Amino acid sequence: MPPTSTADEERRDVAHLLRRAGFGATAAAVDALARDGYEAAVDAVCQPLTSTVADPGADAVALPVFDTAGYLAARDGTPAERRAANLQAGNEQRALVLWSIERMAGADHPLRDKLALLWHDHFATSIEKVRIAELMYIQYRTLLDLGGGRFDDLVHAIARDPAMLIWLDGRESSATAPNENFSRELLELFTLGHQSAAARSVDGDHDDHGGGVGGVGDHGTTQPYTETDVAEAARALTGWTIDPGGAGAVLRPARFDSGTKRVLGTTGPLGLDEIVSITTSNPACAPHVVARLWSRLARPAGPQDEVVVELAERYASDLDSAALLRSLFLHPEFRSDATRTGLVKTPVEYVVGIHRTLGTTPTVASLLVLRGLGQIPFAPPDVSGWTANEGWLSTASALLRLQFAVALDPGAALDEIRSAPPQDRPAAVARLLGVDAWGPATTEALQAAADDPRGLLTVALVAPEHVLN
Amino acid sequence: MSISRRRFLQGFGATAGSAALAACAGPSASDDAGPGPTSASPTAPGTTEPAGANPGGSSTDGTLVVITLAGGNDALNTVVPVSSDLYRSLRGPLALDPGTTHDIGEGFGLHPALVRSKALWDGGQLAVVHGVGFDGLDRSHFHCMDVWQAAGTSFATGWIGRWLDTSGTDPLDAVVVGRGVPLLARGERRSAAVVPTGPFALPGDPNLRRHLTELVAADGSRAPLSAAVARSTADLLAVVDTVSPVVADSTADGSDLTARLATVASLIEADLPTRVFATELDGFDTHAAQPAQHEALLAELDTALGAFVGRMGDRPVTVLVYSEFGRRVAPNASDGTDHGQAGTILLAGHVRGGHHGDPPPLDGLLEGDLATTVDYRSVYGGLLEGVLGVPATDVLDGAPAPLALI
Repeated sequence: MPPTSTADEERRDVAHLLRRAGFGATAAAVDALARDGYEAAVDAVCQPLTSTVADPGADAVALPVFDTAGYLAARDGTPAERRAANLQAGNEQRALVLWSIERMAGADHPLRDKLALLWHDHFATSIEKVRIAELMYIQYRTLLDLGGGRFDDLVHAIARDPAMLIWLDGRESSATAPNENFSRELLELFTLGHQSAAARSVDGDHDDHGGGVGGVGDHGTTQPYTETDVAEAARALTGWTIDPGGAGAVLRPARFDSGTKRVLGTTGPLGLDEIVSITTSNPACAPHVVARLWSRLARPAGPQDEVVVELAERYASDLDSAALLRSLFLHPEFRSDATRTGLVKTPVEYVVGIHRTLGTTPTVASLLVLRGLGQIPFAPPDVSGWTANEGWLSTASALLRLQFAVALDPGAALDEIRSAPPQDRPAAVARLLGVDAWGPATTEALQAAADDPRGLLTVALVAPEHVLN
Repeated sequence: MSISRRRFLQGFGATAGSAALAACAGPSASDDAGPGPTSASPTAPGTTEPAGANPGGSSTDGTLVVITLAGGNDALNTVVPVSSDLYRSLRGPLALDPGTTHDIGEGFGLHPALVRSKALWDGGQLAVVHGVGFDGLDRSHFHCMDVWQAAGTSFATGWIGRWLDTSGTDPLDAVVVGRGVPLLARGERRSAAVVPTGPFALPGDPNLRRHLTELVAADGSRAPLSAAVARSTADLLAVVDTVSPVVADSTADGSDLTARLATVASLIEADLPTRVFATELDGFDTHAAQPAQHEALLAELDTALGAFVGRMGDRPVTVLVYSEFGRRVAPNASDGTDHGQAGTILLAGHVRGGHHGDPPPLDGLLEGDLATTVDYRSVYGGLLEGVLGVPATDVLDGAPAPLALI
């Protein structure tokens, strides 16, 4: 049912905020947060980003036990020891993924983990190559602890992160022949962005059915960096290795190219710190990062879209990510119809959202459906992160969501549906799942299924209104 | 191409028209699509025409299987210029020993792992297109892959997606075996169906199916993304009954490339309307420790390809194997290679076997990379016309002349 009053509109917006700035919430939680209006809700949701307030729900999830030393020793041992090491690596990976999903499902302040997941997508690093679960945990901790702070501080930390040094071959890169992998992705993906991305929205322009592409054409924009910048930055980033004693990353002077380099117009004996400063202060950085965050929190947009330009102006001056998120959630466009219908839930948002609204606990079944749908935390397909929107929609993913919906144990939620008279059940399940309103076709399908509460729930779980975020 | 022209061709009975056009194309479609000197004429070792080849015309009822090698396959060590001293000196420790490669003539040999591919070559069922790329290969995985898959000025649709837009309405016209729909198979009004290698069947409750049918009924009030969600479920309902028994009987075991191609083979043998299949093999971004990793990947490709082409027998099935770029000629200090430019395309099955295109000169490198001599769209054009029987211009705007590959 569309909102009939300002209070209804505010409640709808708070529910939207809790989906986007987290992973959704129960109807009671939405009611409670909506009591003081939308702006107060934004404050309440954003405040934990810049405070050390405890999160009992998240902290209650036990940390996995890592035996990195044991794994490394066994990895270089006999064939039997190597097999055991692989088994151990797999177990630790599974435990780490389950830990992260349980945190997201149970957190009292889910924006912290939501933002950490977005940064994880941004600096996409995969355990498939890193292998050591503890290093992936350390990287995630960095994203959690620094994610709401300054963006350049975050990049400084990630550039030295051991998992990242393995992932993009930074630790292989030496003065005699620098490895360009990290240098290229730092410029292309993490800070400045690629010129072709500036000419289109993320994942194509699904709003434009006129056959053309929205935004500025490829030939009108200039590349923020050149191949020479990539090569020169690679020289400046040489020499870093992982300290076997466990102190993280360490610079080995003998492997570092200490000569003069020229990167993005700055000349000197540049090193890692300078490269991070030069890239994050470049004019292309703020719009690129803001576009990525807006595209995953609101709806797809490029660095030249009006809202992005507006938000990026402030971000460029202070690179304060918590302040950016607050401005983003308060921006009128965030609450527009286009934004409300602008994102498909990522697999993690879909699965965790169901756990949060139905009050169920993640299990191995949750992990299996995440794997099938193509989003396992700590294992993005490549350094550009996961896909978005239409990328999540296919016949195969439709079937997987359906199978998940049929098989899950809804627990007490089913009683809530049953206790309503059949003609009221579609509305009851909308409230239960945190959906604003069902469209005409969905309403008809739900009404037809109203005599079978479990069947009704299945249909609701795969309805377009619920699959959208 | 504008929407209006596409719709005009649809209404005009595009399929019939394009079949007539394709039959006229014949061998006069030049091999020499690049800017270089006369390319090597297609030669297959041995003097007999390979089984299934049709040099005098084109098959318009063929099936195309697209395999994307993600990461940037090192073409130089896949189809190796073994007789070149420059290769040995420039490649240094990564240079392959000619004694271990499989001779395919013209001074080239296949990587040692490509054993079954060599057998295909000997049977005239393997073609190699040298020097393939495009103007603007900028060593970015994501930009280059987008260009390869979109093959147009907009990244909103892919070339097979645009073929889908002009080719009819059956949701099984194109099938991706894997997890999601890659850009190449996304069109404006429809996209490929996606079939996993595992079981693919609706949960059993007949009431559920009824409710789902109502759920995805046309509803003009849906926002675009909401409509896209409904469409994916509607497509599922439309294809699952057809595909389910085929996949259930499939010999696919596991989720590797061999399993994915086995699923493709089962779907082809079931005589479904599908004209295009697509799948992917990942891991080719060999910045470090290349020799072992590249060998393992090529072995996986070779095993899968050999089994698949063998199983297809006389069917007009053509496999396209491509990657977003080749890799730099000189190795880096990590026993690997960085991103390069031109790459080599492999075609298998129903093909005009032999060498195509124009090998980029090792003494004419561009910033250390192999230069592009063949525009990738002339390969796509050759396949659109030779396999799918549609004019290249239906799908590719302003592309160079198609290569005669079939």
